Order: sequence, then structure tokens, then C-alpha cells
Amino acid sequence: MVWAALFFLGLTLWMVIVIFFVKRQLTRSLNREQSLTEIWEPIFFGAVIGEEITELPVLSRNDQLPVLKIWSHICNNIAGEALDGLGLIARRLRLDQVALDILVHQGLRIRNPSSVELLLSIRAAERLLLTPAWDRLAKIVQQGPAPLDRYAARALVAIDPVTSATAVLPALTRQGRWARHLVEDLIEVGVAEATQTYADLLQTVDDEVIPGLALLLERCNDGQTLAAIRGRLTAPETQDPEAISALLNTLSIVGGASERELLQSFTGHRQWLVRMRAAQALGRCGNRHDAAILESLLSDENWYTRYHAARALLAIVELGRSHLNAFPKRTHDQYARDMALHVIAETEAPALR
Amino acid sequence: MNSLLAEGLMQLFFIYMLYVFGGYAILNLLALFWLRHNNELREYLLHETRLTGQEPGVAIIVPAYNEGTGIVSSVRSLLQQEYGSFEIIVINDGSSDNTLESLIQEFDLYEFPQAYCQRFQTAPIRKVYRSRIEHRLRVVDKENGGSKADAANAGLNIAMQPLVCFMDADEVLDRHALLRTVQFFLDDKAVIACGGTLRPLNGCQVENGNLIRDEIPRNPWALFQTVEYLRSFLCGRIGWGQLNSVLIISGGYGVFRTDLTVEAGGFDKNMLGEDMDLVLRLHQLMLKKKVPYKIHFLPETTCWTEVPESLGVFKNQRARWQRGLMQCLWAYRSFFFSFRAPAIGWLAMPFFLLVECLSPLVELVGIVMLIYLFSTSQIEPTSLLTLGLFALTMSMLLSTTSVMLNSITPGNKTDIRSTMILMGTILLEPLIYHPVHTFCRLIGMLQWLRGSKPNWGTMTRTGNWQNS
Repeated sequence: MVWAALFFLGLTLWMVIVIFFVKRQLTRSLNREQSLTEIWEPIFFGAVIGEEITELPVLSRNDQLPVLKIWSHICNNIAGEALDGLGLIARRLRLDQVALDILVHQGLRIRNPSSVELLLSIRAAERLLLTPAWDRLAKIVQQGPAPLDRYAARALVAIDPVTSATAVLPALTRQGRWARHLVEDLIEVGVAEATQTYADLLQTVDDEVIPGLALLLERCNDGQTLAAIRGRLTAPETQDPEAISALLNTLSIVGGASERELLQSFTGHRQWLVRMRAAQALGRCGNRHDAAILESLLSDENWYTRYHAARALLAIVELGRSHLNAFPKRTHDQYARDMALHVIAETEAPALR
Repeated sequence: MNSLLAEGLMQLFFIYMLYVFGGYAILNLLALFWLRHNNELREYLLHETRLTGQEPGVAIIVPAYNEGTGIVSSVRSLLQQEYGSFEIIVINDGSSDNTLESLIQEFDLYEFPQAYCQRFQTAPIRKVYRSRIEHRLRVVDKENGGSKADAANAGLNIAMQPLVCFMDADEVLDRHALLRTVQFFLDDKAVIACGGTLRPLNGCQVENGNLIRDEIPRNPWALFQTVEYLRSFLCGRIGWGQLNSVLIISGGYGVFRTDLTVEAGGFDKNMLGEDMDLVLRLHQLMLKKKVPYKIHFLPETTCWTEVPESLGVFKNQRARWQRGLMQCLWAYRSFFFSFRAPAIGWLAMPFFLLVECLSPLVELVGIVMLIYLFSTSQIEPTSLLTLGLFALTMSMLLSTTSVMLNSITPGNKTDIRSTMILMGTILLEPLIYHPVHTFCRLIGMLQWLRGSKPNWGTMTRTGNWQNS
């Protein structure tokens, strides 16, 4: 027992010492980064505005990673052609090799890279289109860890949008209901070029992949994918309410008014999530003939379905505000009336003081 | 008492101390390991992340009971969140002060015909208000329900976002708090809840909801609580988070998935430890569903809260927390040594029972017993001294680890001077603060055993951290 006591005492003391050194290391690396920023930032900004840089300062091996960080940070805030100049200068500094060393040839120059080092390399792979890192990036998307998988998916799409489609699916699945953020990222690096490939994949994937995939197709908004979305929505194997509701959403955005009948058929679904999404979708692409269905949904047992049915009635231009304004007088259902009044008040917010 | 029995009792007491300090040391180690590997990345991502407006929406629910002193500052601080999509729902729980009036005046509230969704039964709702100035603000005025849980449930009834954040009305939120917290949900869809680190607001200066000066408290009592908060949040909860065994997400700040919180039944108004109760119920729900899940904990300071500076208020607060803890441990006793969730059943629950809950009693019995044995010369003075020194050194070293861990968490603004003052506080804490704290918890234990009627209790606010 005495030994156990001494062990815990020693362990805690050791932790105090370790934290002290970690703190010291943090302060030192911050100072180092600051002095490197003073040297390299003007050079990188010069490259952004197209200045010709003939001579570059010598970059020591120890400074490669902090400089990669500075470069990556500047790239993150710049878009378009200005990035070309930064790419050229990164290649001259052999920053692409540093990224590949970390991602592909681990152990040659940097043993056990930290998460930040890995992230910086993934970002460099995306911006410098480092094809040799493909397998490693695909492995990160497949196995994680988060959030590196999101950035690896971005890099894969940037390198080759079409070939990367299958590889990107695990990241979309892992994000599930929160995939909208990832989809925005992928759109930024050109995933729209592979819309048809993703539409083809929609027929074969499991239900759990659909919410993310449907969001991606929704954002790409390509009429060519309509048949695939419709096909998957009506397929007997599509059972998960989250998958159905995601497909309804996408269908109403991509398809528009022509899909009204199909959307109507889901307003009586046993799952409220599906009924709610169908109401929302009808608001997006319905017309005055959908008023009766939406009014009946205003008496739904679920609050969200009632809410979105009222919002949908307001959203249908043909009906106008007057239709919902008159509804509370016509109905005997207190829940429907309350919801109509709620939405009317919500969308008629008093003028700002 | 014969010497064999005395020896046995000494051994038992020593084993208990080893369990307590060993447990905390291992939790500290887990926290250190996690911070070392994730800090830099998380800080880097915070600066890299751009808000797209596509982030999941968060409903911030703020129950307020007689919070007229600080409610406007708190709401202002919430409105400054650097996050794409959120709404604020303040629940005025039948306050007898000017809480509602100050909100109406400051944010130009008007009555709103809310289609109220009665997911949970609460005390009657009087009115729902919206702001003409801030469309993201709604205020629910209800009759007093006698508990914070009742007010939080009323907020949950009108929350429309996929994520819900519960916090107290006397707090100031870090402007990156939601962004940092939601990052965990975005990283992994298995994350169902995430808590954050709280720090005392006493000593800080807040202007228009902005924390303009982050300093340690000047009041010694609040200073002791600063050390305690760091120990409890930075070491305990991050450590448990690594084992997916977080049992408490403080009612002061926690983000949850709305659908699961509703499915779990919201807050139980009969529980004093309603925050712990909700987390345990979420564990129960997810284990029943047999779906993989994670409950995380955020190391960065997410919000600042006013801690009691007077002994009377402190005593009431801590006694109430102790009763809440005991109530929860008893209510969820089926978790003990359960194989459904081994880390919770075999590690977290026994640790919470033996250390977090029973330690005041064990300490009291132990000290009385040691004094008796020493006065009857049944133990050697050197043994007593060794035991005392070990306990003192370990508790000081563990507190030192927490204060130092704080210095390496991202966004930490504690300067060297403040760190030194906190170190000095650590030296005095076992002698001054700890005995009083233990006494308050003993009162809580007695109250629970006697079955006293639970109530929300009152917390006198000084509000002296606000600049006019």
C-alpha cells in the first residue's frame, strides 16, 4: 500500500512537471511562429498580388511546419486565381514534399505527426492537388478520426471529383443529419462536377447514407438527377423516415411543381417526420390545389407538421397571405387555429423600433 | 478497542484515501492526455472554421427566477455568440422582482400568440413575448413551478431547433462557446450531449454583455471556489468524458440533442440534481436503444457564473447539490455494477458514491476515529503524521495539476500573477475551505436522509461584475 501511495504521489508530481514543460513548449512555439510570420507573411502576400519573387529566404527543416501553417492560413482566406501564386511558391519551398512526407512516407522525416500536422498536410494536399496522397486520404475518410475525415474528403474531391465519389460516402454517412456543413465544403471544391455519379450511387447505398447524399444532390440541384431521386424514394427498400424525408426535400427542390402528386402521397405517412417534410415540400412547389391537403395537415397530431403546414400555406404564392389570414375563422380545430395565428404573427413581425 | 482493530481501521482509511487520490490522479492523467493531443487542433480549427449559416440550429434556454440584476447582461452576452443559427428562450419563472420588466424595456418585447406545444406538463404559462429589436429572442412568462426543471421544460416545450442548450441566467457565455461545442456534434453524429467548463464570474468585468476583463475573484471565498471549479471541470469531467462516463453536465452550460432530450422525458421536477438526472436518463435511453453514443466535455471555459461570496448562500447551494447527488445515485442505483455500461457501472457510479457523495461522512468518521486512537495511544504519532501529510500533499498536487492544466487550455487568459494567487489558494484550501465545504455537504446528507422537501433555493446575486 505504501508503494501504491508513492506511485500515485510520483504520478501526480510527474504530471505537474509534464504540464510545466508543455506550457513552456507552447510559449516557445508561439514565439517562433510569430517571428516566422513576420518574415514569411509579406512574401506570401506578395505572391497573392502577383509580385515576382526571385529569391526566397532559406527555410530550415525545423521551420517547414510552422511556415506550412502560415501558408495554409493565408490560403484559407483567399480564393480564385490568387491561390495559384501561393501554390507556386509552396512548391518552390517544397512544402508539397513536407505534406507528402507526413501523409505518405510517415517515419522518414516526421515520425508520429500530431493531428495539426496531419490536418495541415491534408489542407496542402487539397490546395496543391497531391495525387500521391490519394490512398492515405481515402483511408482517413474511411476510418477517421474526426474532424480530419471532413478535410480529407474535401481534398479527395478537389483532386478528382468523379473518382472520389465512392470514397467520400463514409464521411457523409458519419455526419448523418449534420451533413449540410460538409456538403457546403464539398460544393466549394467542385463536387457538383460529379452530380451524376452521386445520383447513380443513390440507387445502391443503404438508407443510412441517404440523408447526407440527398443533401448533396439538393445542393447540386441538377434536373438530370430527378429520375434517380424519384426512383429511390419509391423503392420498397427505402424505409428509414430520415432517408424518406431527406429525399422528399431534395425532390421538391430539384423537381419542383412536376413532383406535386408524388409529394402529396407522403402527407398521410405514419411517421410525423415524413408528413412534416411533405408539407414543407408542398409549400415549396405546390399550388392552390394543395390547400385542402395542407389545411388538413394543420390538424395533425404533431406540432412540427402543423407548423410546417401553416408555413407552406403562406409560401404558396397563388394562395397569398389572405388564405391563411382567413383560415382561423373557418376552422373549429383549436390546434389548427392556434398554429395559423402563430405563423401569421411570426411572419408579420412588427416593424423595428 | 484492541490494537488489531485499530490497525485494521487505519488500513481501511488508507485504502480509501488511495482510492480517492488514485482515482483523481488517473482522471487527471486522462485529461492531460486528451488536452495534449487535441488542444492545438481544436484551437487551429476554431480559426479555420467559417460560418456558412448551415450549422445546426441551437435553442438556448435560460430559466430565470428573480434575476433582475443580471438578466439583461446575460441576454446581451448570448446575442454576441459567433454562431450561425441560434435562438434564445428566457423563461421568467414567476419572478417577484423586475426580471420580466427589465427584459420588456430593454428588448422591446411584445406579446406573441405562441401555439404552445405541451410536451411536458409545467406550471401555467401566462404569456409568450418576442422582441422587436432581436428576432432571436423569445421570453416565456410563467407561474412559478418551484423548480428549475419546470422552467427548463417550459423552454423545451417551445424549442424548435435540433440542438438545445441549457444555462443559468446569471452567466456570461464565451462568444465562441456554441461554435466550439457544436463542433463535437458535427464531428460525430453519435454525440448526443456536450458539457462545458464553468468559471466564477466574480472579479471579472462585463460591459454590454462582453467580458472585458477576465480576472480571478478578489473575495477569498470565491477564490477557493475557482480552484474547486478548475479541479472539478478540467480534471474530473474531461477524464470521465474519455471513458464515455460523464454523469453530470452542469445545468450552467450543456448542449443536448433536442429530440433525445424530449424522448428521455425532459427534466424531472422532483429531482434537485436535475442536470445529473437528465444525463443519467440519456445514458439509460441510449443503452436501451442499443445505439452507439457519446457524451463529451469541453475543456475551454465556455461560461462564467457568479459564485456565492457569503457563507450562508454557499451553505444552501452546496447542501442542495449534495442532496441532488444522493437523490440521483439512489434513483439510478440499477447502474451500479451493470454490465450494460461497464465504465459507468463499475467505475463512474462507484466513484461518485464513494468519493463525491460519501467522502464528507468518511472524513468525519475517519478524523474522529483517528483522534480517539491517537488520544488512547493506539496508533503511533508517526503513522498519523504520514497519513496526514500524504493526504495534504496529494490534494495540493492534484489542485496544482488542475490550475496548470487550465494554463494550457485553448483561449486561456489567466496571467502569471493570477496563477500564483491560485497556487497560494491551494495551500490554504485544505485548512479553510475544505472543512467548511465538508460541513455543508454533511448538512445536505442529513437533509436528504430526513427527506426534507426539495426546493430551487435562492441565490443572492451581487451583480458587481457589470459595468453600467
